[in-house]
Amino acid sequence: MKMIACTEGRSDKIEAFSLEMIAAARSVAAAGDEVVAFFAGQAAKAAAASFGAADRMIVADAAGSDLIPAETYARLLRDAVTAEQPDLVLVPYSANGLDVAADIAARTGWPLLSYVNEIKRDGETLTVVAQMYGGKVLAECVVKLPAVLMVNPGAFAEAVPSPIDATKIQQIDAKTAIESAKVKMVAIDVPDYADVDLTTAERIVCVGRGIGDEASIDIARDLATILGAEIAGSRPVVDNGWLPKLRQVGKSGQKVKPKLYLALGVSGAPEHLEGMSHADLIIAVNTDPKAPIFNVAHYGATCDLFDLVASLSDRLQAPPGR
Amino acid sequence: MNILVVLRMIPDSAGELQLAEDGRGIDREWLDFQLNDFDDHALEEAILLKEAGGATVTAVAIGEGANRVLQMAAARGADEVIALQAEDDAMISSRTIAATIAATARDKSADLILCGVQSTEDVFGQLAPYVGAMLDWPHVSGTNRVVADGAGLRVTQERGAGVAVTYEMTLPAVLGVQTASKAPRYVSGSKLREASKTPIGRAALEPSGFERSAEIRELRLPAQGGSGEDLGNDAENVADRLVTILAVNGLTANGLARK
Amino acid sequence: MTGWRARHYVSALANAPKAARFDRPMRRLEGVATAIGLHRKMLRKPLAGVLHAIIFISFFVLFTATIEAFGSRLFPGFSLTPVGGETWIAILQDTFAVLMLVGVGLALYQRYVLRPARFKGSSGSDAAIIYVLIVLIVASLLFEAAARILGGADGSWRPVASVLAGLLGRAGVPAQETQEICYWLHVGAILAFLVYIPGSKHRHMFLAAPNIYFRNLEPRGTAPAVPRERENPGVDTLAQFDWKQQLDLLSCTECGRCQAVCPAYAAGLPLSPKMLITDMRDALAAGPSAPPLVGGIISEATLWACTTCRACMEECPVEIEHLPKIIDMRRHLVDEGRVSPGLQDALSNLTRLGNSMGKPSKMRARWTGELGFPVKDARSEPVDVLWFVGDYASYDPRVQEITRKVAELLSAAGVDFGILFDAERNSGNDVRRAGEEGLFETLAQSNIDAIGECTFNRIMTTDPHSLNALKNDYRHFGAAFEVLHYTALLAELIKAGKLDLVAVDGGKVTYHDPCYLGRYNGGFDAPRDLIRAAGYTLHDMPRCRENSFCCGAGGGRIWQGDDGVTERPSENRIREALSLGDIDYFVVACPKDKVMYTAAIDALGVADKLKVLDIAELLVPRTPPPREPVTSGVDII
Repeated sequence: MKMIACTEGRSDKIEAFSLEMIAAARSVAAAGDEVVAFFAGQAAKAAAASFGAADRMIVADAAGSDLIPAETYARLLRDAVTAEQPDLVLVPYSANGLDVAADIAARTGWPLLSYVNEIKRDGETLTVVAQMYGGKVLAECVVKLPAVLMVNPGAFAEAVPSPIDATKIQQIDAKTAIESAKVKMVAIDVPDYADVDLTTAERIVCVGRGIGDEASIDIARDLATILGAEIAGSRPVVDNGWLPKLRQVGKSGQKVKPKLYLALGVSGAPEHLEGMSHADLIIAVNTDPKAPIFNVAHYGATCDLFDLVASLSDRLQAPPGR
Repeated sequence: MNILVVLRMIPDSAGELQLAEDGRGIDREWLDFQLNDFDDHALEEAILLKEAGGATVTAVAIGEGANRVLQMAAARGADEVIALQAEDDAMISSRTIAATIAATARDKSADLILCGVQSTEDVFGQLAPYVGAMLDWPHVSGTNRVVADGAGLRVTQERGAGVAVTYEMTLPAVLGVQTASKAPRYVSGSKLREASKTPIGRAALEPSGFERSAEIRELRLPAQGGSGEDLGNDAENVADRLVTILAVNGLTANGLARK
Repeated sequence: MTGWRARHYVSALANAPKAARFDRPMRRLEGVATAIGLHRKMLRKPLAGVLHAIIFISFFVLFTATIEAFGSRLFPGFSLTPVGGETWIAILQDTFAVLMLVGVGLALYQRYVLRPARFKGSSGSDAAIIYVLIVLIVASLLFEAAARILGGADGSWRPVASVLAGLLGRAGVPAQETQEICYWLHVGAILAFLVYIPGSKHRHMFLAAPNIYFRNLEPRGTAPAVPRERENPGVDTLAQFDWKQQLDLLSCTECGRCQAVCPAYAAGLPLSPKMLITDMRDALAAGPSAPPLVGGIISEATLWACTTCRACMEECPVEIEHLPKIIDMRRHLVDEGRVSPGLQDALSNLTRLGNSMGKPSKMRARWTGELGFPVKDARSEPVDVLWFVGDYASYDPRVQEITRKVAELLSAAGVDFGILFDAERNSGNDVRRAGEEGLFETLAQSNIDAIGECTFNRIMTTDPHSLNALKNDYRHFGAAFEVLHYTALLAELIKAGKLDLVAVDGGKVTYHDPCYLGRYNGGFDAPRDLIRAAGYTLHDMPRCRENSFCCGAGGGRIWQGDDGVTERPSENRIREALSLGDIDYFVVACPKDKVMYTAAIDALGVADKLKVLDIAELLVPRTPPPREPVTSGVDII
């Protein structure tokens, strides 16, 4: 059986979830099966230096373009799929993957399952657990190979990065696909981390919709100051304009890995969990005991968050020895 | 420009979801259905494009309450509204409806198809890339800004970590909208009442065209609470415990910045 | 000149859309008589009321002097002497001239020494100019008479002027010249006054009476519907207001009574009902050069600040209608889609699901699950009382307890009642007042249809807001229901001996009159009767009954954030209750009040001192609720 693990990168770096895709493929691979990493982008060198866990690598080197549009990526992948005839294609659930997975499935006619957390193999059939309804329901699905799976980042542990043997790397031509593309990148806005970089913050206090209104953000900010933490928000809070975009944690915001993550009134949509579930210590406060944030929290409390913030601030500010 | 917008009615995910008896779907009887939030943004983006440079907007809705949402679409500025007849109580799978959307787009000579980037029921794949691939039109998912630019479009896509990428693309095209350039507007009841006279066209669902698809064997609710420790609901107690927990993890007292 | 200065107003009124305010002339006159003759509302503020009464009466008496002054020179030989001009009229003029000065003195004392906050934002120069003119007119009148006496006229009917004549004589002033100067001063001041009036708030001298005469005689709780002739639901230019709404603007006296009672103003929000009116009045005077009305003269924040509690209209001595204007301008904003995110959420939920919380309609009757007995479905079997439960009482977990309590009380009293289950929708009371007329119509029609399919005698509501909508607003659709609040029904059941209470030796409580039960629908006594019947001692707060202070939730405010609020009205109210001293319970009769005041007590951290209870929670039925509701012996029509 042959599997293609799709990987991604921007500029000269590979995305961390690329190694997860290789690991996911590896986890279902039996002896004699082949895991082929597919990479399209500028970071071909970084990919070669990290994807040792794969048996082979197909690279479409797009030197000179920070990021290649999904349309181009899908077209290059299509060529690889035609040439390789794999049994399984693993695509990450990312901005790029959202466009790629169904495109390949539609053009090959293969089945597709999205938001995949677990994969088990039983001969020519896979049993897959996928998330539905914003993570509120898990669907156990069966799918016959060949198939495409869109895998949740965070669902599989990263493969250990190691260089891949140069003889196992196959270059394919990216130039034609890039030049004839109907979608062309004209600008890329990368946030300026001068003010705040949540990705390196050691402590984060994150507020969610449960904070209620803009004025209450200040209460959380005061606690963050006492804790020496950065203030952050979930998507609804940032969408409301209560915090700048740079302070958003989650799929479309920052992926963080602090020593302390205090979530106040955050319900924990899968996209949010993706951005913070690897924090060392997660403390969640939410009045809804069923909030999914508790699934990843090390400690959870269901009290009123304002009461807690007040009590906690009092204790932390009290002179030592009290 | 002819724009086709897809509006999917999905179970209100704010409510409590219960599983159907056969375990293969959710119990839809006690659920309210609402327009997929991303589709709402897609509709707004279509109307904004129409207002900015002129366009004919056709809205296609599917699912329980489709008629109501089509009236709303008409009140907001859609020129033609069509209800797609779906099987009762069936989950709205993008994989199933994509062929019909593609056919409708051809039928209406659409240059642009807008739909929400995702829906809570698209476990079998996302609508925009399905339709794009079927028509062989370029597609971009996760847009937060769309501007008509000569014969094409200028589209901004939201990617992780605060990165935003702007593309130029040719028409015809398919976009999976994440956020409209402006928040969806409120439509007053009087405008809704006026729009209720808009005739709603009907269309039947065509075969998906796929020979093989994945199948749901069983749904289950995720285990509650995870493995974390429950500190209870008394704020004072919780605060006491947290002070200790922070200390044990080397995160408190002297380690704290006192400002 | 006076006419020229009034030209803008005259043409504006002449071109304004029509308003039906010509019916029931006797009732209208009666209102004018009590408002002006008895100074009914004016006297609620004793000092202001008395001083205004003094000046008001003096004006009429001294008008005789004005007639004499003009008549004697315009028509040589004219004199009031034959009818007593030098006898009883003279002594009246003499006395009231002094009284007028006393009145003005009191007014000066009030305005410059007491300085009540309600004058903040009123025109200070308008007031000052009138004081100067009145003193000038009255003084010149007195001195003219005095000079005449000095010149040899009979002073026996003019004691004050005689005293002044003595003073003048001692000062050696020439009588003839002084009389002449004072005369022209008097006439000049009067003419100046006349010219001054149309551009000042003193227009009210002429417009108060007509404005009161043409007041709204519809039930207080009926918000004016959108006139058929109007193209769009809302109003965004002054000219779209009907002539009565425009007359309101001209009639304002800037007394500020409305501002003093406004909860939004007290909360620090950018709304003063007085300045709302005067800003629009000034724009009316400015004519076409004025900035746009909505979002210009009147800001959006001002319009959304209003809780529609109606305290301003209740208080206005000249019957200005603030709310119809606010609602009409809100209608414009809503039609344009200019609503705050919170309001948009609530209105979208209401459009989609028929409740503001975004909860499935199928969950509306879930509260009945924990009840010990089934509740009838009024759609499928006849009932005596159709209970319209309302959103908060149905969905809010904090209020559901109370809802069940009401159900148990009804059951204990043997009332045959039923509910609409998932066919009930939000009554639309606050939707309408938030300016969403179209959605209100949809909600109302849906309720009317659902109710129309039921067989019942009367409707009972938990929520005063629903009560108001069903009783008053639904008339717009020709629906005439007999609707009563649960407090009224429970009081009636106690009186009739059907509900027997365990009388407790309750402590002292205070009671908050909900705006839509009290001020709007006159439901003041039933709640108080119930409190006493339950065995509690009632201590009313200073602001009670008609003068009750709004909790801040009405008119769609509950759906909006409290940005800009310096003191929440609900917290202001709790402080008022605390100031009574030894009070155990803060008793309410509106589900929104339970929510608002519980939050306020938490915010103030006084949960140990005061607890919010709904009236239903005070009542303990003697017989435990039976497992099955009693259904026999009730006539079903």
